[in-house]
Amino acid sequence: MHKRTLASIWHRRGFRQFLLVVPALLALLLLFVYPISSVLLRSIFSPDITLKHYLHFFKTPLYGRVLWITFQISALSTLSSLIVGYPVAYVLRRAKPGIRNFFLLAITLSFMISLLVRNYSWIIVLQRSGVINTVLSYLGLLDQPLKLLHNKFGVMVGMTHIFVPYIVFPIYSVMMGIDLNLEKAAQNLGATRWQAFWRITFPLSLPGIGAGALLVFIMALGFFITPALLGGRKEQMLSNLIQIQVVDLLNWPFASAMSVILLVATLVIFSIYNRYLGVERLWGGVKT
Amino acid sequence: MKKKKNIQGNKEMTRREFIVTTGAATGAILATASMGPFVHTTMAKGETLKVCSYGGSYQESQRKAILEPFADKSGVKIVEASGPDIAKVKAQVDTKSYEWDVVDLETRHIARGELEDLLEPIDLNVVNLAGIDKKAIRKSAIGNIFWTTSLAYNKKAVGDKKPAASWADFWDVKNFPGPRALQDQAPFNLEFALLADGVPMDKLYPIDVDRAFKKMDQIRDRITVWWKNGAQQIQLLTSAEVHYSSAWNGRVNVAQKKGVPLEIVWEGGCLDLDWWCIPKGNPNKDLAMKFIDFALSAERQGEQMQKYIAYGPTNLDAFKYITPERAKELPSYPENLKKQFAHDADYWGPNLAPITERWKTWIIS
Repeated sequence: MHKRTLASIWHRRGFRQFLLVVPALLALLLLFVYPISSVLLRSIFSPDITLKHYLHFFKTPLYGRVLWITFQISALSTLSSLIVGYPVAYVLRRAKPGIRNFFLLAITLSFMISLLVRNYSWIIVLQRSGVINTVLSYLGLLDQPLKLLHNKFGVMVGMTHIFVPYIVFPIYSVMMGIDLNLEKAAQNLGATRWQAFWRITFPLSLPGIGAGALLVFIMALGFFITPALLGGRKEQMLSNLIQIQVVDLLNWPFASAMSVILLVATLVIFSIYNRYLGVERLWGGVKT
Repeated sequence: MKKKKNIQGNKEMTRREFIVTTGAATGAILATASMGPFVHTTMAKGETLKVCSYGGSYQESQRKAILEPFADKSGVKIVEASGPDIAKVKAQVDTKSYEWDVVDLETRHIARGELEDLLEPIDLNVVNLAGIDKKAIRKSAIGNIFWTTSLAYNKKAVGDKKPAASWADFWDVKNFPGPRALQDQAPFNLEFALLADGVPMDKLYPIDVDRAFKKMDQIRDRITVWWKNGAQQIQLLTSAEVHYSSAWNGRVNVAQKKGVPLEIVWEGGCLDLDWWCIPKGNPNKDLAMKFIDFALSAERQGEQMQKYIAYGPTNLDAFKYITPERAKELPSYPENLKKQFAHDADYWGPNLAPITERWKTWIIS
């Protein structure tokens, strides 16, 4: 049987559909699978197979502590981005199209400002002699300048500023799919505005919250410039320690082991999320 | 003494240069056949040299005083890059794909690079070391500037009070009040702590790590900011967010020239170097050596430090080209030099990893 000619393969629908994904697959293979596997391999060979880098990580209290700090800062900045971002998405959903487009554009624009510029702007606003302290002490409200910078608060402000757009867009797109009449119907049936929001809109917007929160949390895990510039001595991120191993100490196997541990920790979070919320919801699908 | 040769004057040509030269000459003759007699050619015409340095006003000083004159004189096209570190050098050496022919690196990177055999040994037949300070000579790198990390302060913020004049004063928060900053790293700070604790400058190495951390304990909670990069230290001092900080003398000088009331304390400063080096196995290393030779000349360093940046020349003859007023601002000016200690990169090389772990553990506690 010589029916499997090129033409017959070509005419199979599955094959042509597969061709469409080939570029993406190749890119993934080249830019994702290859580098991550080489990091993985580097972390266990040096030059013979060994687990000493992982042992060193778990035997030295520093790394566990910094991993914990990294998770804490990531979780807190996710939370504060949600607190700031959710109302923005809620209001945008209800705003007139003109106003809505203006604000969506403004949020998009903030992606285009360099991270460093945004961090240094916060330094100018928050520092001891900064805008906030100057105004408050001029009004006679302060005896001593507030300590707003080089501590956890400063980091939260800076990270929230960067992450809010990443939170607003997923929530906003989910909210656009919620019928506004549902809230009206609830109010019609005697619910207060708050009850209508809390029992109807909020649960329906949960997939957006989940998607935005996961996105921000994972991004935050790899952050270190903002904590370095706006944080104090205790706001040390694991990626900062990885960088020292890569650049200053040339200990790439150990740096690889640290990266793998951070990646695994991220995957654990991801799978917990998947278990309880479902990854399909990230793309707006419905969990079966 | 070996006379400094310029690029055209180099008598010994390699075969490759010969081919390039004759090729270029033939081309030039053909091209200029109708334009009269052929005057001269340069041996390196058509070649490219990729130089990587630290960017900013520093690289600009190198561009004006060294890179452009070298290009003019030799006909070599210079391609500049910024942001070097030894990890990127290692990546290039490992993969044998060289983005850089000549690299400006700090001592800690050089020490690490020599430890891991990532750098070409300097060819002393090409690079003339006459006049170069002994501290600036290593097997695989030659120092190109002296720079200092030292105590700096904002005069206006300190006001009428007596300013701190040593690391012991910096530690004395009662008599020298005001917010302070230090860099978030162990090197330099442990040395400063020992100086504050009364260890003489020539007894700092090997570092008594326990004693240094004990002294650091006294000041940890009095440090408002642990700075991470060069821009931050000057921003902190300029805005008077802190009154005192460790800082790099070149950056302080640039701020002073802009009218910011900063002052540097040479006493107890840590003298360090930047170096020219060549990634191991670089096919362009012959030209790179010639570049290093050119860059180290007294005249080039003299112009660089006189006009463009306040670092110290490693070629001591360069002071001939520097006015006495300017010389006083430079780290390797003899009066300044004797107040400082030299950073010992070879001590730090093998000790950096364990001490960094201890430092980071200490700083988050």
